[in-house]
Amino acid sequence: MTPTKDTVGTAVREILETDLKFAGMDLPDDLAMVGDGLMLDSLDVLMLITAIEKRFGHKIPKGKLGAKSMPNIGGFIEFVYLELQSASSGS
Amino acid sequence: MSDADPELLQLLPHRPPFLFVTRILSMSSGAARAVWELTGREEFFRGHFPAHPIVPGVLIGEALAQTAGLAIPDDDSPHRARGRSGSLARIDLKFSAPARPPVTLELEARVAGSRGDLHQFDVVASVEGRPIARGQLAIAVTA
Repeated sequence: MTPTKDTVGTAVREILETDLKFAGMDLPDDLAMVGDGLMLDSLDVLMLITAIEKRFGHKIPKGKLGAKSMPNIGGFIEFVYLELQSASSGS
Repeated sequence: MSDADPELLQLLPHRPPFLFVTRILSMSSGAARAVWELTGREEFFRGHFPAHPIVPGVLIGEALAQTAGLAIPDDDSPHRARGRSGSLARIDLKFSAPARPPVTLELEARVAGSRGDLHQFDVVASVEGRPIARGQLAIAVTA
């Protein structure tokens, strides 16, 4: 079953708070992730993606990852949600 | 100290007394199993601790990082990793039991994800099949 966008959002925020140590920070949808806002570096991004892949049992193709896939937290949640939907429909 | 496995010396940049992996059990692109055999005569046991030696957790972490170094995927790295230097970029381990010498530590590393020259691993150290430490670490392969 494809997770809902809320489920994905909860997972992304949990990973940011626990694995990436952003607990106690406001994590609104419009907060930038790379270059500004959270200022994630390449190791943070690897940890985030790996944790998401483990959580949902789906490997995100490398070619799909990039600046466009994580413009901000809301955009990244949307990207992961659509990726999981696409995977479950087999397209 | 001077009897390091020649294969290991080719695959890892570490050298005694800081080469902890003593034997490879299996190795592929993305996964490796190895062992660290400890006799109890290692120098650090004089201080860790007198009269009741315990393998230092930080050295178990280093041994797991060396095992991960054997498992760095070839296809994900612009630089062929084996035999090259890698830097430990992150480590997060939970220890569930002490390891007392003489002991053979079984070390396992499996890649969980990669981005360019950065590789994240799930790692486990076990004694007689029972996990004593597990967690994640990341290695950055340097040119």
